[in-house]
Order: sequence, then structure tokens, then C-alpha cells
Amino acid sequence: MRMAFGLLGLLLLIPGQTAGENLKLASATEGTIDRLVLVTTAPAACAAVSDTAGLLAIGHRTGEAHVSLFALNDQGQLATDAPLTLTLPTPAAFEQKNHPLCLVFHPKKPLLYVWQDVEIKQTGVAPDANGLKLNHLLIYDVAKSPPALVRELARGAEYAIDNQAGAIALSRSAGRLYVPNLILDPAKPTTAASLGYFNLDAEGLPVDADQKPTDKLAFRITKPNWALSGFPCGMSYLTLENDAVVTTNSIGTVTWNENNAASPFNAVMQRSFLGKYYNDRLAAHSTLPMLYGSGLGTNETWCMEHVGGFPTLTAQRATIERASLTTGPLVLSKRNQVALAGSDRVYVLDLNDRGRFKATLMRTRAPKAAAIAYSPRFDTLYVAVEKVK
Amino acid sequence: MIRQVMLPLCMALTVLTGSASAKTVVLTDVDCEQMAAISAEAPLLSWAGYHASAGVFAPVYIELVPGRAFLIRYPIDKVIPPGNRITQAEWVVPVVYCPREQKLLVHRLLGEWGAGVSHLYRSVRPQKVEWNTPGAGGASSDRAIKASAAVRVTDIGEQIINVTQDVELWYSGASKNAGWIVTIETKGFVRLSSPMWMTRGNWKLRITYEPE
Repeated sequence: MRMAFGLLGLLLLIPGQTAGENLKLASATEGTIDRLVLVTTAPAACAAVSDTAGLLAIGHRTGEAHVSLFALNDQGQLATDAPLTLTLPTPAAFEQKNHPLCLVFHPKKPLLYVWQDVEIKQTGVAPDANGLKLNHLLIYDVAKSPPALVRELARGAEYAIDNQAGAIALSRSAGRLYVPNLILDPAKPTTAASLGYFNLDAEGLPVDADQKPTDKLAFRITKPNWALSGFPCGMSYLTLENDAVVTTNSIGTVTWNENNAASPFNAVMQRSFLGKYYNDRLAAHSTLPMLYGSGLGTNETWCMEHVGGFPTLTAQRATIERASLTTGPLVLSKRNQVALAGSDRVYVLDLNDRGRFKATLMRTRAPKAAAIAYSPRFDTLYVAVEKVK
Repeated sequence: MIRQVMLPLCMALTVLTGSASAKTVVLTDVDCEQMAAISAEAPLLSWAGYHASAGVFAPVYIELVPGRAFLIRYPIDKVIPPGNRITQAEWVVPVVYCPREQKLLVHRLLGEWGAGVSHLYRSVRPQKVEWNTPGAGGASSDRAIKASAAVRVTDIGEQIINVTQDVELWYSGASKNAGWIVTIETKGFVRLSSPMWMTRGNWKLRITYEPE
């Protein structure tokens, strides 16, 4: 595998047409993006970076290994071309192939959380006898070599199986781990979906109210919820202050803020409806109260201000000419930019001081880019690409 | 024979084109940076247009009931250059469901409103500022005393509202453009097209202007 380290060269200023603040960003010739690391791997599904552990993790939808772990040197570059690899466990005699949907590192502890599912036969169904044994959540101690599986949990009738997407996220305090794709009523499973979380102790491991190890969810939404309908449910998770959460379901954002007793849930559709459902992905600005989103398979990204996770005023939309996005947006906090990938490219949009898009677009080639991650420590963007045949 | 043909033809052309220097612009909700659907049931939300299920609000529609309102501000100053006068302004309000007759009330909003606008607040940044009366209901403080329009709605379709006077007030600077608030005050409901769900561009403001 190869990596490429780009120097800031051409800044491509492509004047955008504006309708209100909405932007149409035209294509341009290729440029280079500063501190960009292209990592050639097997087809990628997800990626994450740990500044604490100095690791880049890439999850694969196909290939021999499920997760590749690359050590980073003190410049944020790959220390070696040969990663450590993980094969995620599945129940014995399990016929469907498993793969990771989401990777998250603990902010302080050397832990990697992996959420897995299996190849789809029918989206978001109740697990059968074999499926009941699949542990969706795997927790690895990455300080050990090879990384050691310390906990495997999240199995049973409340976990829908066969989902093409699903995200996990730690709360700001790292006291909760939110999980996706729960079945609202496991006793009578339907398309009614749910979300929930595990409580974590100071070591980052799931515990019950008595701080004892547990494999049971601390909380699960059990009331029918119009905003959580169908699967996959929880394809992105943003965790904000005071345990407010913004996630996704069929269309747009779903805010879940338990501090708002009168109206804890608010579903809003920011993007243009282009005939696609269940394809929204999100990011949040690290310091400004701004949400960012994109629709996979579309060419549109958007940003919108929020208050406690609740969207307010209007969304600004930016369409990227000839793009078909394969990732959600990723905020490059040190540069005040947003990155996305799609159509064998990485795109970077500048933000103004309010966190809204400027009419500038940079792009560079990135073959079959499908997963991106960012290190604030190294101000480096990592993009998983496939080898060009 | 020719006169019989030409005179009506000339009149038709005059109606269509008006004055040679008159221009018509159309703004829609897509052009707006300030919109909200506020509700007393969800007093902190900016987009509470529809109470979808217990504790869940979503602007699938703008479903107006007493205690709920739609706010919108068109950026008129961005599209009409100075030195003109407004000759006509029509606002298209898209009604998608109206089970029985309702009266839509349109008032000019007064004062600034912005991020975090809700039933309780005009804005929450940089600091929280409450409406004088929740729901932007304060007459002469939150909204103009007199309604700009009271529109009788009986069926689905586009309701065309003459808002020439309001737009002229804003354009001339006699009144600051803070947009409109749309409400109903009688029992029942009416559903309006939502600009924050699947369809956009249905809330049109057509303004014709000409040089002074």
C-alpha cells in the first residue's frame, strides 16, 4: 500500500453561483490538499483516528481482515506500511459474512470500539437463532500487541441485524456509548426502530448502575417514535453538550435532547430530497454551533446552526458538480474546513467565521475513497483508497 | 377588421409587459435565511411545524393551530436595487390541507429575531431575548397591531395575498424588514407546505418594481 503526502499547492477558487446563500460549486482541475494521507487498503467502510494512541483504524467491508490498524509516527504519518489486523468474531457456523460499520476510539483510554453487522439479506430484521448470538459491539485494548478483545456484547432480540449502516459514539464525558439499530419492541418486532446507550465506567467499559460489568443497555427508547422508523437507524451520531444527541433515520436529522422535556425529539430535513432515503451522514463543528450533513449517493452537502442540537433558521446547501458522495462530511477543525469523499475524489470546502460554506472548493484524486478520518493533533486528513487497477 | 384585431392585441401586450422599465422578481423560501415554525407545545424549538408523535416534532407540514405560527423573512434588499418603487407585491401561501374554513392572519413582525427563535425566544444568541408575549404575540411589540391580511381559506391550493403595502414599507425603510408571522386563531387547523421537508420553493413572493 502507498501513502501520499500532499503539499499545499494550488488553491482552486471556483466561483460559485448563489441562490440566497446556497452554493453550486463547479468542478475544476485537480489540485493538492495539504497534509493529506491516502492509505491504500482493501475496500473501506469506516475509519477513525486516535491522537491518544497514535493509531489510524480502517474498517473493511470486504477482504481478509476486518480492521487494519496503522501506527502513526510523531508527524502523523503512517509509521509502517504493514498494519496490524483484526478479524471480528462471529458465532460458530454463522453463514453471513460480518463486517464493521463504525469504529470509535476512546478519547483517553487505549480502547477501540467496533460496531459490526452482517451482509444484508433483508435490511434491518429481527435476528434469527444464529443472529441472536452475534455480538455487535466489540471493545479492543489497542495498547496490547496484538490488540486484545476485552469485551464483546450487544447481542439479542433487541438488536436488528442486516443493516448497511449504523454508528456508535461516545458522549462528551465518555460516560455513555450510544448504539444504533435497536428494535423498538423485541417481543413484537416491526420496522419501528429505537436507539439506546451503555453507561461506561472510568476505564471505558460498560457497567450497570452499581458500576459492575454488564452487557445490558443502560437505556433504550421504548415509546413509539415517529422520527425513528425503519432501518438503518442511527447512521451517524453526534454527541453534544449535556448529552444532547443528533442522529439520522429515514430523512434528515433527528435530535434527541432529554433535557427538553416538552419536546425531546425534533426531526428536520435539511437536504434536497432526491429520491433517496436512509443515506444521511452528519458531522458537528468542534467549536461553533453548526451541524453538517450530506446524502450518500448525492452531490449535496449542507450546514445549519443549532441550539442544543435543535436545528434553527435555515440550512445552507452546497452542491458539488459531478460528485456522488461516498462519505459524510468531516470537519477539519484546525483548518476550519469540511472534507467529503466521492467519485474517486476528496473534496474540501472552506468555512467562514460563522461556520458556513464559502464558495471555494478544492479537490484531489482519491481512488474509490469511501472512508475518511481526521487528526486534530496532526491536522492531517486520512483517506482510505483502493489500489487503481 | 385590422383595428378590431390590433387594438385588443395592443392592450394585451400592455397588460403583459406593463411599463417598459418595470421588473418583476420572485423570491422563494429557498432564498430565505430566516424561517421558523414555532409552537407553544414545543416552546424551545425553531422547527415544530407538526406534532408527529408524543414528544416528537417535525416540520413535515406547517400545521397551523392556535398556538403555532410560521415566521419568514424574505431578503428583499438583496434583489431590488435602490431608487425604485414597489408597484405590486403578491405573496403565495401554499395550502396543502384545509378540512374546513379557516382564516389565516398575516402580521408584520417587529424587531430582530434569529438563531434559536422559538415560541419563547426571539433569539438565544448572543443572548436570550424573549418575545414580549410568547409566540411573537405582542401587539405593537412583537408584531404589528393590525394584520396585513386576513385570508379566508377553504380548500387546498395557492393563496395569493396582496402585500404591496408591507413590501413598500420595508423597501422604503419606513419599517424594518423583520418578515411576517402567519397564524390562525380559531379552533381547527390548516396545513401549509413546509419549506424544511421534501418540497421547497412553494412560498413565493412576487415583487414588481419600477424606477421612481
